[in-house]
Amino acid sequence: MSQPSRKEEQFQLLHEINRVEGFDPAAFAVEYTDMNTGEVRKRLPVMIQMAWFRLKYPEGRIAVEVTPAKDCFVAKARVYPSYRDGPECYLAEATASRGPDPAHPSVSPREWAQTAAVGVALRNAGFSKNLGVPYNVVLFLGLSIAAMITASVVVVVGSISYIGLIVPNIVAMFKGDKIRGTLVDTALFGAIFVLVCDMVARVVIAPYELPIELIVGIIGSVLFIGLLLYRLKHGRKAIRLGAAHSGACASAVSQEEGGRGQ
Amino acid sequence: MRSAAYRANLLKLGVMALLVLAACAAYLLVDVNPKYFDYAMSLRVPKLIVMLIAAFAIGGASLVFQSVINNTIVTPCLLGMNSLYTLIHTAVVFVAGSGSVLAVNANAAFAVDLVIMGLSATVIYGYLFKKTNYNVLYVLLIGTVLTSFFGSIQSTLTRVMDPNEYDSLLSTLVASFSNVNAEIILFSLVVLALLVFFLRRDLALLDVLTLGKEQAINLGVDYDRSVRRLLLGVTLAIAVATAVVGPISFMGLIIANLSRQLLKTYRHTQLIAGSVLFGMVILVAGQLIVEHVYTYSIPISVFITVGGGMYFLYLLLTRRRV
Repeated sequence: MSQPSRKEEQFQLLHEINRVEGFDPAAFAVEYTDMNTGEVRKRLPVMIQMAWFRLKYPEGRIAVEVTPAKDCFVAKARVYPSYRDGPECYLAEATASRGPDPAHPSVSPREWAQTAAVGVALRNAGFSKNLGVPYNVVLFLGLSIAAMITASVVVVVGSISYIGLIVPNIVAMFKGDKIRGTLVDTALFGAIFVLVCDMVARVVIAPYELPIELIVGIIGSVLFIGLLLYRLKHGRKAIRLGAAHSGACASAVSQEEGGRGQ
Repeated sequence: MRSAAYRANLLKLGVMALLVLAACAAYLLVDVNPKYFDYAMSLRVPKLIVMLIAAFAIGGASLVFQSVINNTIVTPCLLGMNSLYTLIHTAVVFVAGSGSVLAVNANAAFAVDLVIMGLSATVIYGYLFKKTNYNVLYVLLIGTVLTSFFGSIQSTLTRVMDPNEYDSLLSTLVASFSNVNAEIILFSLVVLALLVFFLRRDLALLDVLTLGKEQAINLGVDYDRSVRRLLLGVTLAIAVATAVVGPISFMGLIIANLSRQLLKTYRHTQLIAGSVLFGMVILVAGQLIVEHVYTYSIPISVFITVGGGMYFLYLLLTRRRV
């Protein structure tokens, strides 16, 4: 574990370079889903990166030029510490190309390429934030907790499939995917789910009982396939209950960021 | 004009066929007491025929299925077609009752099963493929879920039904290599022959179908119709195999991929032949070892599942693009 923590320290040192008094970029970080790996990461929106850059270099300049290519736009962005600097005296440079996205037809590929190029250029200049989570430690702890809970469940009642798959997904559809906010709901909903299945299992052949796995297996697989097909049709859209819901908003934002993330 | 590779493949297939013959001969003749030759043959020949039928059905169906889906790590069994068949068979006995013709006459039950299986599998899997835009990973995921779904319903039914009915169901339900379902040999042979006969055009088109939908349509193939007919054929072949020997999940995956690895060609006549021959060698030789080396203490499905599981992992890990 010594290697990552030293790396973290070095990251912290790197972040000191562009530190601006009274401005904490971490507060503006948003979650986005990597379209290729499906991993959820945090990053700074490009607007915040630009604001940070302005705070650090009030006289700085961000130059973007866009050239249309065959079926996409190629944007080249350069970041200068001062507007008087010559064209080659840039802090960082980046290019990005974006074509029309069938999933987001309203997004102009031209603007998208510009935003992406500026974001990468600013990131190259150090205006980005990797949130300081000791990834390996958290991963190890989380896996240990999950393994221990699973082991104790299996020891006490045996294995029941699908609950872990279905329940968190259903709760997330209504309450968003911020774990801290949904942990209690997930636990309670899981308990309700198992209880209902148990009641069904006791009722079907009344004096006798069916094993609960069978009922969970049937109901769970139907729900799972339903969820999967729903996701396929609607994307990771949250179901809004009544007025605008904080969870729903958060997940809508994260979807938007995912769509535009590099 | 045939290329050198084509002739080399023919040679490989010839060697495979010789191996199959050797395995069959060994299976029939090892440890036979000449005094009771007829009795031994009456036990061994149906088993051998059943294994050959199963190898033919599974090998052909898996390879055709992989080519139609355009993915070499999928088998019909992974999509839950085995469990669908067991569910249908259970449901038929459950609804009709153990005294009815369907439970007493194995051939009638098998015919009803096949019809229901063809219809329901076409509806279910056709819907899935259309709904997921032929995204194989989603279909595979849903297929594994469906496997446990069908399995759960099936065991619920067996628990709910009358113990006597369950008893009569059990003998036909848990077909395995040591308890083959010999009553329906003739019927399944007829079914397979009819399948090959009716699908001969579509099978001949397989080489073109694997080029992809656009290319195939460009070349004048009625793509959707061919794919629909082939998938129906695959479903029925799997139903036949499950009915005669019970579910063997990894078998199709192993033999289809071994055939692709050995022959390294895109000609489906050769690939299917290779897959079928591999299946026959594995089943017959495996059963020979199980019977004479392990004296029935380990069922062959254990070997197939262990070997197939490892081969599946190997395929997943070595192939970058699934």
